[in-house]
Amino acid sequence: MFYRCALHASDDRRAQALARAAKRTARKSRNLTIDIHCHFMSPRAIEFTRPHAGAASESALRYATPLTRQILIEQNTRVHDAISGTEKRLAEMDKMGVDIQAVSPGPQAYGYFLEPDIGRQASRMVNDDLAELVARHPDRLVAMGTVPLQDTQLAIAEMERCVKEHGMRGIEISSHVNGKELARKELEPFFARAEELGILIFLHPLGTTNAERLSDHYFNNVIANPLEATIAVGHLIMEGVLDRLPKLKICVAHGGGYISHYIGRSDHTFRARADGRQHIKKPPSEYLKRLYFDTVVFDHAQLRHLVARWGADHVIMGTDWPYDMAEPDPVGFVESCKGLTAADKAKIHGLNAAKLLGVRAKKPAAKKPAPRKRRR
Amino acid sequence: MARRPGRHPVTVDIHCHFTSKRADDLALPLRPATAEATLAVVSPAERERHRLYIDSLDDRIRGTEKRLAEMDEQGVDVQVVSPGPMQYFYWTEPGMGRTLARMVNDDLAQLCAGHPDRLVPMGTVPLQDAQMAVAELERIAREHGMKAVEVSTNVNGIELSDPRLAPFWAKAEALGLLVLIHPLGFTDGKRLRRHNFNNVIGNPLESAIAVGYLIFDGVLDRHPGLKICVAHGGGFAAHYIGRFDHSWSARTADRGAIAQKPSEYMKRLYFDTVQYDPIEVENLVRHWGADHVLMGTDWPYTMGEPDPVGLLHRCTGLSEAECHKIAGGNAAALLGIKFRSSAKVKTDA
Repeated sequence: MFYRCALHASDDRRAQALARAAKRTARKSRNLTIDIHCHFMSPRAIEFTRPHAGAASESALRYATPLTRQILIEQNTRVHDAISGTEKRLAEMDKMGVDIQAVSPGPQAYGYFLEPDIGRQASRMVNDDLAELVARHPDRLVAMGTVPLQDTQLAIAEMERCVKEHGMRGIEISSHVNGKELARKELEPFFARAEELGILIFLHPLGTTNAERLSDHYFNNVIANPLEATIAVGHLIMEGVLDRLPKLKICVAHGGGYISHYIGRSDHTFRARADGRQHIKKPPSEYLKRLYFDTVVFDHAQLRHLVARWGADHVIMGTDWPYDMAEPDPVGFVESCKGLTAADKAKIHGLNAAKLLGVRAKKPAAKKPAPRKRRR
Repeated sequence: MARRPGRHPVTVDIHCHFTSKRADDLALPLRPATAEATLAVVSPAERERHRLYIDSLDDRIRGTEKRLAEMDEQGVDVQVVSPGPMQYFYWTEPGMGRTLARMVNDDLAQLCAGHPDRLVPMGTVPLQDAQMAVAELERIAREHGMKAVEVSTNVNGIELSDPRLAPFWAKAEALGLLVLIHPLGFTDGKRLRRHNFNNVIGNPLESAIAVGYLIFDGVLDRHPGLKICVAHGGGFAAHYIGRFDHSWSARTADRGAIAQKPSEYMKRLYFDTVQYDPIEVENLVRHWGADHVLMGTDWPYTMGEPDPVGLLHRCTGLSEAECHKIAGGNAAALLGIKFRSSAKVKTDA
């Protein structure tokens, strides 16, 4: 192992993967393609929150090995231009064959640990910058905002502002608020208002609350993110939030995490135990099937499972761009998955997202893959 | 596969339990309230409810009479009986742990000796001391002829890949024993108190952590002959391998000690059918092969599958040959169980 080059190797690999993706995509997809899971970072908001951020803000770094920490820090530097601007973003979208990004803040922007008014200001800053970014290319970029969930009323106000002032299509949230579950009573007005507004909630975890045993091998991302989605969605189901809010639209990142791949145990506890059905009338899978899941699973068998189990209408293409845990070839990953019909692929590539986000785009003629291939 | 035809494939339950009364009598007065992750974070009232529930299982989990009757009802010919995970007793001092493990193993061996055609024992070892664990492993293999051992997913918070446990894995491989990895709730159950979540989520999570460490720290790489079955359908990892593989492929600097991608190690493992859901059982078979899936129940707990053979019937995508392997063929091959013939096995005419 050549450690000298190791940190840059992932850069090279990513560039190579993108190049391969571009070729495959150019060859294969003529569907409208929308990436539901990709990020933005506001340098202004990072600077603003820095003095207020205690140790609590750095959980990703706290639960990590020195090597993982080094990689994270280098990654943040490396992706800075791509994630905060539009130039590299559009270039990489073109390479990946992504027509439209539904851009959400990088999850470090949540700032739920901040004092509520500081959190409110930080959210506004992120959202205003994000709105400005997507306004530069309204045909290629739509936005999902962030809200200060540490205060329900402030969160509702900022969500309304995002929708009314900036025309945002969704709100991204974490899987818990400083260790408190999303499903607790105090937060329900937020979800009720999201349901009324008809916007999409994008549930995207950021490590887990106690990752002492997940510090090695980047497990605080690799295991903790799908775990957190499972804990969050599990509570939203079992506490009856999804029962009370049947029209709430939620997309869960990373293919829904573990729960969308492993619902049998939840359904069994509902059937077999009184403590598994205190607030719900139907088995957990009946609520889970209303949710949406992105394609960031890296494995065709898992993608096939998501489609077979929850329906092609409930699976949405995503990448996690521009991080190293992103799918480098999102269009090709869906396109080359055996067992999916052409209609399934069109839905997953973009039609589902267009419907959920209210995007009225057709496949832009100028970006048809065929001419690009001829240019090569 | 017909439910109970005259000639049916032998059915083996790889995941079902026993508890030793002697061991409980000795250990429970010593057990601090915080010893078990699940109980450590709940109220005293909840703890008392749990105690009553566990007590209510006594006449099934301790003996053979109800066990055999329920096996007949379920269509299970042979149980591979392992200690209930509350009897790992890893929280005790090593000397006490050794005493307790011996007690559990001796009682379990005696239980099975009464019905050698129906019951096969799977032992426990005091993993809080690797040398004692190795010694007990050798003893149960030699004295009791045990072919399998059950372990938890961590030892008082220490990962199974910890170098201190290396002698255990080497010995298990050398003896050719099957190791059943069976969790007992996530070590930090604070956010999993409600809805039985430290079982429903905590158990498959623990298996994912344990398997993750065994893979990424190179234990499976160093011990290619290890035979490991992971309870509850392998937990989350067996159903969600893509993120492990991607992390290994994309983050080359952080690959750890392994030469191959994680799924290459995962496919050596075995998984039980305690999934309650035919789709998830079929996913296991499609992903890891019918040779790697073993029928199980988690009897006699509330989280047990009441109809393990019926669950296989509901897996409409599996061939008859695949069902036969899963129902018992794989377990028989792994454990060297020699059946006289299925005709000898009692059928519910």
